[in-house]
Amino acid sequence: METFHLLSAGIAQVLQWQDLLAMLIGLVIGMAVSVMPGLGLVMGVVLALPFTYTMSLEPSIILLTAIYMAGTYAGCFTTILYRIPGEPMDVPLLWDGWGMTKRGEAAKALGWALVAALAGGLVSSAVMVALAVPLSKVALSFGAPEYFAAVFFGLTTVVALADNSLTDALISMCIGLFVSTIGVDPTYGSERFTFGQSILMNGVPYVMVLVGAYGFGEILAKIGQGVKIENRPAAGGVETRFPKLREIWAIRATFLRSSVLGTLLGIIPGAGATISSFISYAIEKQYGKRGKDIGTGIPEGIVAPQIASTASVAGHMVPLLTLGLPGSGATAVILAAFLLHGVQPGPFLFQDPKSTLVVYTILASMFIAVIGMCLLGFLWIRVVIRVLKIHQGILATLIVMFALVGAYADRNSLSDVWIVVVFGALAWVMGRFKLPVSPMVLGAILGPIAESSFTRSMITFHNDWTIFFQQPISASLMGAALLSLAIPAIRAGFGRIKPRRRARTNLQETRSTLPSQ
Amino acid sequence: MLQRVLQVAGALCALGIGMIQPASAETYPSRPITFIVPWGPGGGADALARLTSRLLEPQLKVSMPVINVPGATGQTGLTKLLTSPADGYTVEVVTGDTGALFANPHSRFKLNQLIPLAIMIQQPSGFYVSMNSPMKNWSDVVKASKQHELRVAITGYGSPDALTVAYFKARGVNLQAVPFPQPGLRYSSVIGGQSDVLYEQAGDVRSFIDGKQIRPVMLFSEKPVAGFENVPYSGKLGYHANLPQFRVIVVRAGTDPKIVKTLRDAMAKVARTKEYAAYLKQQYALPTSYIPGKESGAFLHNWLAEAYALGYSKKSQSAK
Amino acid sequence: MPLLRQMKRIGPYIVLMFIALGLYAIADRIIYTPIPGQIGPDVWPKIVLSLLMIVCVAGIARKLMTDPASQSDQSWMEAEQPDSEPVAQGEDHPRIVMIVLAGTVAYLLLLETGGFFLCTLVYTAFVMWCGGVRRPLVIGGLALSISVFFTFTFMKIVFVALPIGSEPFSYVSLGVMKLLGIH
Repeated sequence: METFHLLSAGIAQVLQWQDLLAMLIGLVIGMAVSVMPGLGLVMGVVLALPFTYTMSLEPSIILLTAIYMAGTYAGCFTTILYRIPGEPMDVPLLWDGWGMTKRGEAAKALGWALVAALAGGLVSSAVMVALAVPLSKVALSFGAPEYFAAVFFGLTTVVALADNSLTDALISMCIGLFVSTIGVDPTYGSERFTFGQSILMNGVPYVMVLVGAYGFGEILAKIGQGVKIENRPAAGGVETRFPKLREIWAIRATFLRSSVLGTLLGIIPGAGATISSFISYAIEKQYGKRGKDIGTGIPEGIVAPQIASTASVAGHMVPLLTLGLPGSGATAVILAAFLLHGVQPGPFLFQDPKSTLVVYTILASMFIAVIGMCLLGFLWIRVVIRVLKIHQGILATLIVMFALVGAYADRNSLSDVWIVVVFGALAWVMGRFKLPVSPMVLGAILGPIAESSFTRSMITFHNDWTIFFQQPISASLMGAALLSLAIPAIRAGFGRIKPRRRARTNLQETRSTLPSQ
Repeated sequence: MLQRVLQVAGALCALGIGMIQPASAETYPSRPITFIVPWGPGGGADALARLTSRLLEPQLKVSMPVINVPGATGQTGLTKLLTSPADGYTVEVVTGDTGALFANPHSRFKLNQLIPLAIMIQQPSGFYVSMNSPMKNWSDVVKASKQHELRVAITGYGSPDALTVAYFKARGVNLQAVPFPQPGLRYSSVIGGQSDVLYEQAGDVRSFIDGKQIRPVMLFSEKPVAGFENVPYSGKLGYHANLPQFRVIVVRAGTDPKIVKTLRDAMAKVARTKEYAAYLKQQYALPTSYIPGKESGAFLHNWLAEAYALGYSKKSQSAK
Repeated sequence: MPLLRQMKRIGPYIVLMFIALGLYAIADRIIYTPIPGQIGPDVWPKIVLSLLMIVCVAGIARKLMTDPASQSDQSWMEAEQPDSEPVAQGEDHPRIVMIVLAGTVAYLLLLETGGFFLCTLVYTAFVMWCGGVRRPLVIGGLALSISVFFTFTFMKIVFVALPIGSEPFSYVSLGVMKLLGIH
């Protein structure tokens, strides 16, 4: 009842014009960036960050969350209509979406995607709102060993699920973890790996790694690919036709399975929308009633990945709000926005009524954002989809400028801009060597938390290594982490049973440089 | 080549637009003054800077944009100030946490690199325990520390927090300093029970005190603290650990004395406003917080001597 | 040349391993005031670097043991998907990327001298040209509007002190600021 009361207070807050305006702008930006291939929703969130400096806290977070939410949905339009996956998470939609489009059922495919996004968003938001307070109570008992175990779990998951070899993902992650140690250390104030350069004294902020790898680096990769998009004729109109209730009921198991999966995967730091989408698709194929037909153009193949990617948003927001743990690129930027406004997300947000209201306003905004996004998708997508017509060279220039000036704006320092350029170049080089970039970015994001919680555990428990396995919460998280490292082995086993087909390499190449949301 | 072309283009444009007055001590201030905050927004230093800048703008008749340059116990912001020209167009708020680093004999920074304009706020710090902790007062803390080591949540090593904890440790109170650079984690670690004691300024945790989640067990002051009449203070308990938190506004050493005087006079006017007095009260600060420019140098020297005595002198380390 | 091919496959791992080794040696010389009984600021980076070295060794071993012809490290997400025609085949122009990178470095180096407005004008025109926009009027017009847009948005609305450059370029920046009403 308490939760319901707080949520309605939150909804009342969201309905103020500033918050609604922020949400509307966020939804439109999120749709625009996710419609454009190569421009990810993380980049949308990153580029919007400098504009939140002069806004107050609530509209800032609502704006960024709306971009995040809409970014998991709008990519389905280009995927289904033009066979251009706007985001890596839309790739699974491609097989069945295009399959339906080929049969002239594009409107229906879009309808299924809309229903799926709506269901995924609403169910996971509801689950997370219900869990927020209990989770924050658990979070309050989180000491340094528990934090370390949670981060460790996140890191191993992303490595285990990475779309490349385990070794390469681990290398990428280590680079990210190392990068986060550059600068003045948070415990002793000693200089580490600065080589006497004042540019490195300030350290390497993870937001700059993000802007570099996903913003500047992405554009470099695009320019390298000759920035061209063939204007394919849309197969079928842009209209959306809703599936009948009877049809939805027929695949209720898919709805249930994918919602649960997306939400759960969202809670794990590291497993973003892309991974949720792929896993949900794979599970549907393996265990779904019509699993064998997946890929030929059946609704299940659209519903499963779409639900999971949208559901992962709420799944990610709650660890951020209750623990202060950013599990993905987008939530890392949202964390940065919180810190910019002098608010540290974490269990203590729930300790005082004023900040509790802020939390519930943000949670409430997710419900309204889901509905708003589907409405916009239904009504306005015609306009949004026009961004595909902008010349890619002009778009690239605009994004580069936003990335560079945004980086400068963060701390009024040119050294941050240099970091962006260096990491953009690094991401591009890593892409050429087929090293995945996402584990590096996640390493840079979670590295400071991993280090400080590790060091604090060692200080508090007098260098007792076994402490991570002594308490129930940390021990089970560590166990889950070690278990997740077994996934690649299991996967290899599966691979041997089923004869593999030669994958379409160009998709694989793009993905190795693409962000995991 | 490019540089050359740019130069010519620049010169041509300059002719069209006309000369713009150069800055000097006579015309100071003739353009916006940058106000550096070496901490993230929303914290105590940020609040002070934003208030001061708002109250200073009508005095100086230029705008004073506040910029946040956080990192490394305030050292990143300090580096930014020291690499800007000493022309009075960059000022910074320095806090006690960074100040304590000056007391370290091996510090990279020295006090004489700065000219203080005014001490704007002094707040007593204190030890707090969670409301549901079995320890209710300072003697409970001392007693409990005989049983097992108590964890004190502090900002970081080298800060007044760490020096104070070391002082008590040397006097037989079995405390262990655990650094939490993020204030949120620091507070929740005490409320959640991971840490036993919190070191903090009362003004910063006012909402938790008012919300009956933590209680002060000792405040570091020679005199009783207004608003906490029933809480024992270090002077009364016979400890020589009275380091207050302070926040001082500074410019770089080498700034023209005329400019320094203009700024100090403007600060003095700010200190007489009602808004400033209300701010001090809200922050549980000493009503006599404000120390004008000329005397603030002496205050800083005394403060540093105290910090040195607390943390670095042989006596403080060996007293048992 | 099987040996050369092997070297090409394991080369990056070897380079990374030596970099990690060098950084480990640097981590040994971090200066700090130790606190008895507590781990220093060097321990965490050393753990990370050790892990990196171990993984590099594992990578080398794996590459040496597997046959280069078999694609054992193929993407699992792709592996079982039904066939369809390839999507938007990309071209590969690493040289253009290098040119853009060099241009960006030059832009950052000249920013403090030339000021934000002038440098951005030139830089945006350059990036657009590299991005395949070839009409001079479009480039010029867009470069000007982008420069004005960023100067105005960030200096007037977001309050960011973008570099105005040194004389004589600063006159241009100050002039533009005057025109846009930025004080």
